[in-house]
Amino acid sequence: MTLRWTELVVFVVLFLLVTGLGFYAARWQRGGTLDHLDEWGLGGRKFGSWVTWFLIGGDLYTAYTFVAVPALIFGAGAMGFFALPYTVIVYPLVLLPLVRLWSVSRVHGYVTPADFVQGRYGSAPLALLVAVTGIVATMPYIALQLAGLEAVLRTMGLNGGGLAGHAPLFIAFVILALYTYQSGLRAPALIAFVKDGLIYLVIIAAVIILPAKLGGWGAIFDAANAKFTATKTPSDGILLGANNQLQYITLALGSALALFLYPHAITGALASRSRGVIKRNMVALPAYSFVLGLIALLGYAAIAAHTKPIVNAATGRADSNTVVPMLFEGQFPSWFAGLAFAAIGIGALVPAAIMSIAAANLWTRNIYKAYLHRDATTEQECRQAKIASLVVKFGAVALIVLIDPQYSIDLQLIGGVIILQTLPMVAIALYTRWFHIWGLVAGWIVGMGWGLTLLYGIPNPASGKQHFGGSAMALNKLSILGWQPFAGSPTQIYVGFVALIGNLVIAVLVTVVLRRLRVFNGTDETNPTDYEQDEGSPRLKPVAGILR
Amino acid sequence: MWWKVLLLVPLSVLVTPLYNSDEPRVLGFPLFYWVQFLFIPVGVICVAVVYYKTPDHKAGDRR
Repeated sequence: MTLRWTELVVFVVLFLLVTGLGFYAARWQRGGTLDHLDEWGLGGRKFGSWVTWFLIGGDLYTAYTFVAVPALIFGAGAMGFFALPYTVIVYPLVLLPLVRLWSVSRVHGYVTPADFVQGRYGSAPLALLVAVTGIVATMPYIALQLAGLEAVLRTMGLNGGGLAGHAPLFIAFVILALYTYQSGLRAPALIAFVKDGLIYLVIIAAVIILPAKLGGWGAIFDAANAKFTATKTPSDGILLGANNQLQYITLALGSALALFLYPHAITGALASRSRGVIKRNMVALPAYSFVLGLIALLGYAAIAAHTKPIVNAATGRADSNTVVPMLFEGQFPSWFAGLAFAAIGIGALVPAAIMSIAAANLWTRNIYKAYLHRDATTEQECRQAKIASLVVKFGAVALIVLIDPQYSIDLQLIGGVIILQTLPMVAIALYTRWFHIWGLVAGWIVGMGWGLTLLYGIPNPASGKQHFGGSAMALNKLSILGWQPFAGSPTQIYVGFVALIGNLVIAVLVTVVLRRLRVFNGTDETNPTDYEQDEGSPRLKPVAGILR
Repeated sequence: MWWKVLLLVPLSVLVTPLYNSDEPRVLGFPLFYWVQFLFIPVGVICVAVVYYKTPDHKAGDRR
């Protein structure tokens, strides 16, 4: 094991800088007290357009973007580029629902999506289901950030075997956990400025210098094409094949629908000051999509540069997540590679912090306060959330130690299948209360059960896994109680999409029956104008008085 | 109101058969890639138009 000292020094210096920022953040723009979930968990609900842009950008464009997407493109080609259309369609799709969620949350003081569902349907079981789904789906997403961070650490030579090999990751995460505990959402908001500054710097330099070194983009694409043509796998290539176009489409659409159902994305949106802030961000956030597309294509640049992923000493297998770090290592001077590693590493810390805060908010509001300690004071709530954020982080560390980070994007895609099942309860409920509580519950059970069953049945020949090997299935495997509507079709489709359709069909059927039987459908504490209130409205709940 | 229909325009990026081809290349990028990059400004324009055409009224007086 040889350490790369220059890279390590640059990385550690920048890591210490953001650690300082993380602790300082507790005092930045602070309100009266940090012992309040509005303050700790939502940064005082007063972030303006700029802070929100960095925060949500830091939230959505994560280590997954910098590490896992290029790794997918490196391995499979065009399929991995789904991340670009996904971020093209997400903002137009969520613009209107998101501002409605913001308004109703400010009128009633909701902190989490499950709070909204509780208010909308007056049903504790339904809110619990949304909260648990959110926490479970967020875990693998945090683990994915860890996989990205670890890829960088291993590239710098911290590639130990066994449990001790994960020690550098533990240390980085303990530090992250401490300042998140201390400063709450303000820490990632402030660090996001550094993260994005570094990312833009590194990427702009990379997309200018790399093509020049490798003979231009044309040569890079040609090299990738030559590699994929030489392999026997029919599904790879720099263009989509006959069988994976539907997969590409459903994966982009499914991922876009899932994105703002994730608790951490909603946390970012609810922390903003007004509807205008959210709308302006929906216009401005696609600036990141350009960077995302270019980073994705670094996977091809790595092929052209003959980059070899390093062998993870803990699993004994080549770790494709190290492709981009190794590309920088091979093509740039050490100090610049160090900058790039720091950008990726800090790019993993910011979303990991926001995700753990969002999961902690869900735990505190919708499980702890709803079931375990109904008359908790605001201070008790806040302390509970801080502790929960620690538990969530270490749960994710355990996840990464137990599983092979090789295809860490699969983790995120499984999380996506899970979180998509809350679409009818959260997103559709913003517009209509037509669905019946028990219809939604039945739909969730079917969607979740079906989705997980299908995921379980997907092998991954590349890594030799029998189960949970990916998120795409062939249509001919699709069986509805023995009936195979697409028997013989090799066309691939995204499992989350299939499960969501199953979910919706069951929810509609059960709702029709229960409405016919006039079964009580809970009480709605919101009224139609709540969804349109903006900053300055007297009907908004004062931020400090939110937790009653 | 009808401006909101513009939000559906970027979804056309999902019709992959339209551009799933190598040629013509632009700056070395195959059609498949540069078309999708081009959709980023398309999405921005659509969302921006909807933003400017549906001004947020001050509290209470919204329809």
